[in-house]
Amino acid sequence: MATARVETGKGYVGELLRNRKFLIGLIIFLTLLTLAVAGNLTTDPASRRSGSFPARLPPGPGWPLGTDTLGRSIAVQISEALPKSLQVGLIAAFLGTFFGALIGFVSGYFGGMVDAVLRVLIDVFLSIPSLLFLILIAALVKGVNVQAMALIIGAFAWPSPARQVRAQVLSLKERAFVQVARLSGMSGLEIIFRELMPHMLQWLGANFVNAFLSAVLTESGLSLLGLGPQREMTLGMMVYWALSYAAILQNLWWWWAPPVLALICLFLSLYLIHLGLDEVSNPRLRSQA
Amino acid sequence: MKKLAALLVLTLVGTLLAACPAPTPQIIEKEVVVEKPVVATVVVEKEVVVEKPVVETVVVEKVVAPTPAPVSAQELARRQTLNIAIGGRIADPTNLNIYAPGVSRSSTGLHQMIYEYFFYQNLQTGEYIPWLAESYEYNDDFTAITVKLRDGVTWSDGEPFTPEDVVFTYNLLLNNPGMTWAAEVSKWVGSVEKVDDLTVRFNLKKASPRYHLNREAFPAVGIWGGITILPKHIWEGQDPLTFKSSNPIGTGPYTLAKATETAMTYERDEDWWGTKVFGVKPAPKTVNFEYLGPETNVALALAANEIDTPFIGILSLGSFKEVVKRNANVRAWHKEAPYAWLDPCPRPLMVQNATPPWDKKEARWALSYLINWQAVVDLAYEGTTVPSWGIWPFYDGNQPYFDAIADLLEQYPTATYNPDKAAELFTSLGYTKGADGYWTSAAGERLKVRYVVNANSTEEMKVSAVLADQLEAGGIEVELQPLTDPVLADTILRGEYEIKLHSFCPGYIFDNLELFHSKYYVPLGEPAPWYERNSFRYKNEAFDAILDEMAVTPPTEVEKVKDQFRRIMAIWLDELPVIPGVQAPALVPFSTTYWVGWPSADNPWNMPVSWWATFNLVINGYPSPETGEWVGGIRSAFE
Repeated sequence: MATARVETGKGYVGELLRNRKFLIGLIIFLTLLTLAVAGNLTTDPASRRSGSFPARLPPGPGWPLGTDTLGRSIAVQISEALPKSLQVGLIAAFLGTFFGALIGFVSGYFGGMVDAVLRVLIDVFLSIPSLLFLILIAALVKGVNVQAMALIIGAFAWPSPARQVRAQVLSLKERAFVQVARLSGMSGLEIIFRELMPHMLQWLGANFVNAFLSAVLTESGLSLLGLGPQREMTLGMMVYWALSYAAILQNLWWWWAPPVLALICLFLSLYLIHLGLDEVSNPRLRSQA
Repeated sequence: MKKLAALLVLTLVGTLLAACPAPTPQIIEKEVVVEKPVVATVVVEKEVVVEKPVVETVVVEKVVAPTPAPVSAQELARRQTLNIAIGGRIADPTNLNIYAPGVSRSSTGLHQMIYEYFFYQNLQTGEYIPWLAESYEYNDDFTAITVKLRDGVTWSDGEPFTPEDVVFTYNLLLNNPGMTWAAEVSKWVGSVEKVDDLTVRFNLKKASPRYHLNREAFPAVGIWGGITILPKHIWEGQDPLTFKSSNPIGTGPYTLAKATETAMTYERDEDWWGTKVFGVKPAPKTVNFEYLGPETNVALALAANEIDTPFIGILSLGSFKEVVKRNANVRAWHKEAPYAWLDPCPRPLMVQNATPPWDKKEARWALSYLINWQAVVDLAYEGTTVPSWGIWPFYDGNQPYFDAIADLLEQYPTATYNPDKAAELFTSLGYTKGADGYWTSAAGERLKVRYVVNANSTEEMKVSAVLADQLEAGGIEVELQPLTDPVLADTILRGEYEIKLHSFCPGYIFDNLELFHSKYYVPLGEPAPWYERNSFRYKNEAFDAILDEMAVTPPTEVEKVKDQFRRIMAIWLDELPVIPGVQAPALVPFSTTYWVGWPSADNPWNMPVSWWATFNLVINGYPSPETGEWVGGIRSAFE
């Protein structure tokens, strides 16, 4: 977990890049990202439409990953789905981490009544199975798009970072440098942002990656249940379409395998990045490695 | 140490990456997990219901059966069970009020198993089969119809089925306009009276030589369902809209044993009146209507002999072919391509005529020109059907009427893809195509449609994916709304859609036109009488006038009807209130592993449709109206 060790930005990045887990994760992630962006830039959006290609064909020239029963190219779908899935992850992780950290800082630093109220709120949200709520909300919102999906997921991603940040802040605020800052007349918010935040940045980075990962998976889960963005392609929606069109039964492996593998690779890369971040910012873990 | 760990991580990553291009067994496991729980639930339910009676029957059958091979109790129970896969969950298994809007009568099995009807039509043979009734007779000017009821019919609780029940049901319908199809009943029926203990007379509000064919006003089923007679002794004093009828009492050969969100289980009524009157007994002891999940689950269940037949629109051609490869006992109506039976209810695209700009015929025609139905057929239906110029099934009986308007069809090319023509029409309405490719009104608003889809229908979901792509390509923004009942029913009836693909039943020349009569017009936001009964809110006086003329012309006067059809179609085609789409293929496989005698193209004694009320006759067979001889009925494959 996070430490009170403050480093210069340069040293931290250098250390990160020397961490093999982080590096490998980053390379896989960047490869996926490059593929997605390149694919997205080079494909004509019109070719995403059904009937753009002959239907039910295995990989071949013109359709490198084959086509589905509606005459859509799997490669084109992947090129749309990867960035959209990443978008969901990015928005949801940002929302979750930002609001989680904010609530955690405020709750931990100010204490008292504010803390009591926020703590109950965090505990309540932590104890409610969020998937249940996500399913309910996604089912109630008629016709979600990718952004709405990200907001829905992000709305349930904040309690866990909030609780951990709060715990850290409880310890940090008793340290001498915070006392000094307080005595020198800094306001509460100033202390949070200028004194406490730098100590939490590394931890927040690791949490961000973790939230990113779980948001991508949650999106896939919801989409698999048929609650995803019907008019847009995400990795989850690709698996959903393949499943609901009985692609496995009909041996159309090129339909379901690419999104599943893309999900696995994405998961792996983010997990390695997360491990790397954790190791670099936590000396105890580093010495074990 | 450090190096070793790094090496390990590298190896792990390498292995995983190497696994990337090839499908790994891990993934397959993932998919299977989704299916398992569903199947497991079903089996448990079946066991719970069937267990007890089986043990008794086992002994009897073992003595009689010539095959000495030992058979497990579970297998014996399966041999007496008919399993039907339905397309979606039962919204509320405790609400089995067949007249409450939004309650499905077919997925629940209510109108196949519990309730029965005066007459059943056999579309394959053209027979009008007396069942709860024995005969009907019109008076001279077709303003009254007298129906003779069958002697000996009883409700499943033993009470006799009487004219009082008929009178009670009709009074209920006349006094409660919110009941399903009550509007159509009120339109035709002035009163229903008991003549004697076995005779009722329907006094009609106006002459109608076709009343006995009107499923929404008379207890006769041609297609799908009909008016259902209720037991007075159960329903009296209940509010017909809120009464849940959780334990439904009907005259049918089965009684409800268990109702859950995923399965309705029916047990044979050993005291069924039909056994006493006709001397027959339905072969299956238990009938299940089960929701198994998506297409793959249904296909695998059919291949594994866990179900005997699925509902319409669940299995695609690709899945069906895969099932046949795995289970040689499975076939559809035709043994070879095109496999499917032609359902009498074609699938046009309903357009909300009350919402601008779709209130203008130019807009509706433009929409029609934007759609490539052949592509919809090829992609969504995998070639199992054909585009349709109109809203009637391509049956031989209808052909003379189609021939009568051949020139009109040339003048008005429906189901024809012509984007240039569409652009011309949109431009004439003041729309311009923006840089983003979407049509925009003079006020700067993007042309947008709410496309309501039945999320439980594989067919509708597939079509919607293709149609939405086509419309977006044509410059119309599409907002897809996949809904399920009861929200779905409410949304459609209140007209809260711009487009919705829907089946147009019953498929007769006159009846399908009559759906467009403005007497069914209700303002937006109020529930229309029925989905295809003008929930699209069309209104045209000249059209109504010809319809009223047709309504009093006996169907036997073919030439006169043809002339009327020509005149009315000149208006219909010009205005295009709904957009003709495709003929309805019914790819409904059945398995002969446990049950034989299914109707098929080789032996077309009935319709192969387990979601219609006529399925009662598929299970039981029926007395031929001409010879009295017993026809059909499914039998056990082990007898």
